[in-house]
Amino acid sequence: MKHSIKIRINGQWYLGDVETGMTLLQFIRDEAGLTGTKAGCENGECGACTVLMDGKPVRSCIILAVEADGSEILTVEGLREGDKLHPLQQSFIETGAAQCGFCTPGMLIAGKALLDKNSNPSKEEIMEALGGHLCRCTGYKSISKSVEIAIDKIK
Amino acid sequence: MIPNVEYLKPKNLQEALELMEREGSVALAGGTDVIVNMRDERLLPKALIDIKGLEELKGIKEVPEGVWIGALELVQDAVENPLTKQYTAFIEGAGSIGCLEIRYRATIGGNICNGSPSADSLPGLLLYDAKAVIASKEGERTVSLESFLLGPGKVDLKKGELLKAVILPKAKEGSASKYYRRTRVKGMDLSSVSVAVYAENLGIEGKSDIRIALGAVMPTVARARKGEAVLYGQKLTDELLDEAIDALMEDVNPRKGSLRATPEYKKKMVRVLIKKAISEIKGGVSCEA
Ligand code: FES
Ligand code: FES
Repeated sequence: MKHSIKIRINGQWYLGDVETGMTLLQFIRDEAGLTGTKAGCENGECGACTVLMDGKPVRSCIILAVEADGSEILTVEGLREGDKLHPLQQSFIETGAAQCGFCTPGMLIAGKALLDKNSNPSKEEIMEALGGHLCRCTGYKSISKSVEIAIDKIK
Repeated sequence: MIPNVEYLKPKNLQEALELMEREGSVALAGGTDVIVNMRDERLLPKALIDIKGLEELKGIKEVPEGVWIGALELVQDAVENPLTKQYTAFIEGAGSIGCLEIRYRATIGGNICNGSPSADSLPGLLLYDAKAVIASKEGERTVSLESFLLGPGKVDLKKGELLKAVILPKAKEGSASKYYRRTRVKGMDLSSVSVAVYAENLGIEGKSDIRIALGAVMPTVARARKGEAVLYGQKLTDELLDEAIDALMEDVNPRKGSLRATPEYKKKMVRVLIKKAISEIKGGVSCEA
């Protein structure tokens, strides 16, 4: 049973006929061709696939594409503002917070969700926002630091 | 791979209830358990009934009995809502589910209906004698939430029924509650053991009402009534508390072979966490002479 759906990703509509079993993550990567969003555990546990859905951070590997019909998605490709990188992207580069980079798109989106909600989060709130994201390389310090630096940049 | 089953999205409750009468229908809310279980082949529905469009199951509002929480309320929204603020153990428990991204997607009704013995939203709800409102084509029925929980993965929903809401009775003035859990790692883990404690007139003779709910140590989250009975109306002493915990241990029988913790560890933690919660609550009512 195919479903005709349309999803707006980074401001552009993508149409598709999808099977029930296709995840939003697969739709973003395979149908829309936006491979910035990563498939890690594909079981809701690692955070690599995090995107904003109607403004809220969610795990696209445990959401069906058909469930996301009509929604507004932001992926890492949509973060930059015109020619300029988002302050979070800049601070991640400066701090060396991306090593292999696999967790980075999810971390950036989680950071963006936090800053959209609260322009001056506490350390604790930063930890809560990033707490469900696994990184096998950095040890997390440089990542939380980058979020703090981005907060200062935005101020 | 997630199987390509039928997917239907009803627009209102009536339509949804009709679809739920079909053999093999499974309700899909946030999907944080359903999708994972389908991928692991632990769940194979004939049809997924996406209930997220049902306005009848949304909202948090004051009702004469207390606070009505729609089954489709997102966990994080329920945690942040001012109306749930006084139910500390509930918001601490629900606020510990998964991580922020899970709580933005998972629903209160889903956490309940998944029927996990370690569901974090449940101990806090049971402390306050929460009710479950169940809808079917015939109408609504209301049962105690504790009796709604039947066993691991099993709740009291018949074919054609949906959990519509939970109702939290009014919290008594001066009452307090607390939730503690233990996990193997800090983030994104299920509870190995959890304890919720409620106290009203703590330790005041003739009035003291202490309630205890436990998670992950019995087939369902449940109240520890044998322990509550020992404490009820009594002055609180260390000896009495130990006696109460000994009494409630009769019902605490964690299964062996749990991936997360041994039965011995769980039992020890039940004792430790109950005491911790009580001393925390005691500390909190420092205005008492
Ligand atoms: S890929 Fe989605 S949470 Fe790991
Ligand atoms: S940079 Fe490699 S997983 Fe985080």
